[in-house]
Amino acid sequence: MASITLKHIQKVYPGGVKVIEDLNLEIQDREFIVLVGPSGCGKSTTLRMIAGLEEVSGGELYIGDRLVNEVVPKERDIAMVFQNYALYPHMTVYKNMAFALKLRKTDKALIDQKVHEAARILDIEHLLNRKPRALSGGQRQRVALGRAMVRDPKVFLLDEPLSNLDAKLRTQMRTEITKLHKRLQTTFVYVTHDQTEAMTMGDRIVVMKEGVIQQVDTPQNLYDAPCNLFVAGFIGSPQMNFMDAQVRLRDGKYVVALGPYELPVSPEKQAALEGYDGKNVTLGIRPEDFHAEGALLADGDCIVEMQVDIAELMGADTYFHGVCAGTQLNVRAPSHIHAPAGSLLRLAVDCKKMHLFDQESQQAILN
Amino acid sequence: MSHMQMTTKERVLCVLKYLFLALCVFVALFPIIWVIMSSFKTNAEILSNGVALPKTPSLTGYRNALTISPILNYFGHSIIITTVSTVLNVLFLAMAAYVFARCRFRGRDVLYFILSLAMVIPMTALLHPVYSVIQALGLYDTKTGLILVYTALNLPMSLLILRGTFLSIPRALEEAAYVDGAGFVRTFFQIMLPCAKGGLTSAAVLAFLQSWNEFTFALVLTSGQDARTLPLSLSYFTAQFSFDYPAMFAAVTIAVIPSIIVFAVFQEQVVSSLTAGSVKE
Repeated sequence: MASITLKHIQKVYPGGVKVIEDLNLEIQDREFIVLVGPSGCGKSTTLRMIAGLEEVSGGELYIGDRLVNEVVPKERDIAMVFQNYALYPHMTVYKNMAFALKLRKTDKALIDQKVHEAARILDIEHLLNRKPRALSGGQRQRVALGRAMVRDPKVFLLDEPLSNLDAKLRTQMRTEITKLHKRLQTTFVYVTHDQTEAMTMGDRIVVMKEGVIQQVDTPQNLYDAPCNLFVAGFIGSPQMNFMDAQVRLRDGKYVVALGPYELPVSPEKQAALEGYDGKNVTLGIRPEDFHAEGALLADGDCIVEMQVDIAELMGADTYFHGVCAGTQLNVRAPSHIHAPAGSLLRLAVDCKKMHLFDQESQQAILN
Repeated sequence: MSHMQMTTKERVLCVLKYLFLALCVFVALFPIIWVIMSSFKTNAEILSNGVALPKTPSLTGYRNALTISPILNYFGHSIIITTVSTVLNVLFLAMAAYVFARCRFRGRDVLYFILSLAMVIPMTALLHPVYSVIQALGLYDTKTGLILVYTALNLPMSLLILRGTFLSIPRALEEAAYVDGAGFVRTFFQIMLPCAKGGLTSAAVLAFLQSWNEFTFALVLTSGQDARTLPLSLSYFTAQFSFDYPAMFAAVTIAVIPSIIVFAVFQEQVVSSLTAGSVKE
């Protein structure tokens, strides 16, 4: 169990390619932190630096209170789960799991006990004598987790561990890893490019892009108050709708003009728009913040109309894709709402959940 | 009609194809079968009708082979020299190939190129320099001398095969071992070598065959009875005034059987790893 501190971390590859320029991050003890971002954003590199598999080009990296910049992986007391499992193909599951303990000259009886305990938790006891090639993807992933578990490491590092699994298994393993974290009470650092995994698993999420941390926060806060356009677009599925809009002053109050519509801004958020009168901004509204029924629609304050192109029935919900004020929109509505292609759908916008972004800096103006 | 024509044409092509393949097999196998068959004949039989089957198969040829030349002695030398040089070759080149496959250092590619270049240098060109070196080292006419030379002769091929093998092993395996607490050396011996088993086998087989059949260096670097290898024993039969063909063919048979066994056992691995590794990464 340990915290991890990254101070002004840099990573420059030979040839001068800067992957990470100045990364600062505090990971708390026993925290489940998820590094998320599109491929090439430096999340895996960051994880590999924590593991000691990549050299740190600059800055300071602490595990607990110990500066580990120059410490080799085996002395960092970390365990890592790899995307392709990286099980030793010539060893049985038992030997795979026992390997690290053997190297530590752990007592044989204790090794046996630990391996069996981990295998029991992961439900792979019956596979202990098999070789990895005789296992399915899900089973291999469990073995990889087991191999990490038996060592009681200070830190668990997981590098896209679920991306080689099929969708159903992924969902199942997701909950299992979360449970495992609760059970082990260890620091978990988890890398993924899948925002759903990030949202469902992390205590906190680190959103990265091009080697720069965009925002670090709890899943809820990231979802409710993304700090910029990138985070707003990356977190949430289906994606947030972005529309070109303009801030205007009407009777001493700011409104957001979207094509022919003027959407009011709630009184407590008025101050944030100071100085934006007449400026173009990007308006962000999540698909579920449009309402095709209920009190908001009855109020009649923030009504827009969308020409429906396609309705996709997902079961509990229906996704409507269409055009409103010249922009493509995705709207999520309960499945009992029907609107055939070509029809007009009246929607109330939940103005309290409107997001506005500066078009130049792409930073959030109000959330 | 056209359908019929097609099938006839196809049938003819098929027959031709098999005839061609049969011819290839015949050309490849005939000498070996002929030698083995002739080893059971008598001299007179061979001279009167070369291709006929032996009338009364006899082991006289084999008996003579053992008495005319010190073939058993040489067989023993061959086993020792070939085995030791093969083991050394594979061990050292596995280590070298691993470094070439994984580590980045200045001049790596140039060094690899130079080592591979050895493959295109004709062996006879090396004869004199190698002779001088072995002479200077005081290893002339010793098994050690031949072991050293054979270990080196098979360097380019083994390096090529083993580097390809290591390149095809995912890097994550070593990283997992490092994280698990293994150092560089342990990772190599306990994780990487077992994973490279296919490449190791094929490099070993090729090195074994090459050393087993090698004639020129064995001839030039030895003089007495202490280090001569099996291929040299064959010269005893042509050097005599009486041409004892059955004995010579018997000796040839004794000489090729180990190669055939080794290759037959490991054939699949050799072929597959010669093509594998060159594609990945």
